[in-house]
Amino acid sequence: MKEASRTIHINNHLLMQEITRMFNEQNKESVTFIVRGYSMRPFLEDRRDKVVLAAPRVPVIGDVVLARVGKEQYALHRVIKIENGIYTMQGDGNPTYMTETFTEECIIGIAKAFIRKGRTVNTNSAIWRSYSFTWRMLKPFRRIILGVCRRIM
Amino acid sequence: MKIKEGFELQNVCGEHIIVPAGEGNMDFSHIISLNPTAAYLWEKLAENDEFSINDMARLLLDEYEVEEEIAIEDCKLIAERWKEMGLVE
Repeated sequence: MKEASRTIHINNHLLMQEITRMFNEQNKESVTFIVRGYSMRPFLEDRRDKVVLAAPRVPVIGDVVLARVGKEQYALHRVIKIENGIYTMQGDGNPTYMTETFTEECIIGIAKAFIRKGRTVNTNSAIWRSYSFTWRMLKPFRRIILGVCRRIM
Repeated sequence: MKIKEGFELQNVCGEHIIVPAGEGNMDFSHIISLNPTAAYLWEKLAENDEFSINDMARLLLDEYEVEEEIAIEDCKLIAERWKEMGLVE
């Protein structure tokens, strides 16, 4: 019965349902969880960083959205294109040809802040905006930079 | 001792977790999870005001086949943990 801190791995699909329940039934303003995967490198690191998610709203380009992109498949990526109600998103850390699409009803939530190395960065902060701008400008060099990240991280 | 106000036991993703009531943010990265036995005790103890280690042990004995001494020792441990975590006062 005596148990210290431990990590519970929650199945993604189950977590998404709980997040939706938190927003819809419990009226939570935000939900925080640890990110998995490397697709939002160099900013977010697998199992180190967290995201603070707000309830679904209409996204704009540049928003980092958690959405269902397939049957029980989810992604937390940046919106790069909106066309006829179809949203295209892409992970910062993914090769430029890898994108996902979703529609509004597939949105689980929208990032309002990230907790990177324990430090909170709001998505409306100057830091996040300048990072986003820089990363967009560096698009042609993405592969090289991510290659370096992989080696040093 | 008694359970502090403002905490509620919820079932999230199949885990019994203690969440601060009325908190605007649900933090999945930092939750207090109880095992089924502890959750049972919590539920019962939340119903009454003050409780002692003996009250806790009695609840355990009602529900589980366990020796009284062991039940008391276990309850002391849980109560200690709950105090450390600021759940009871």
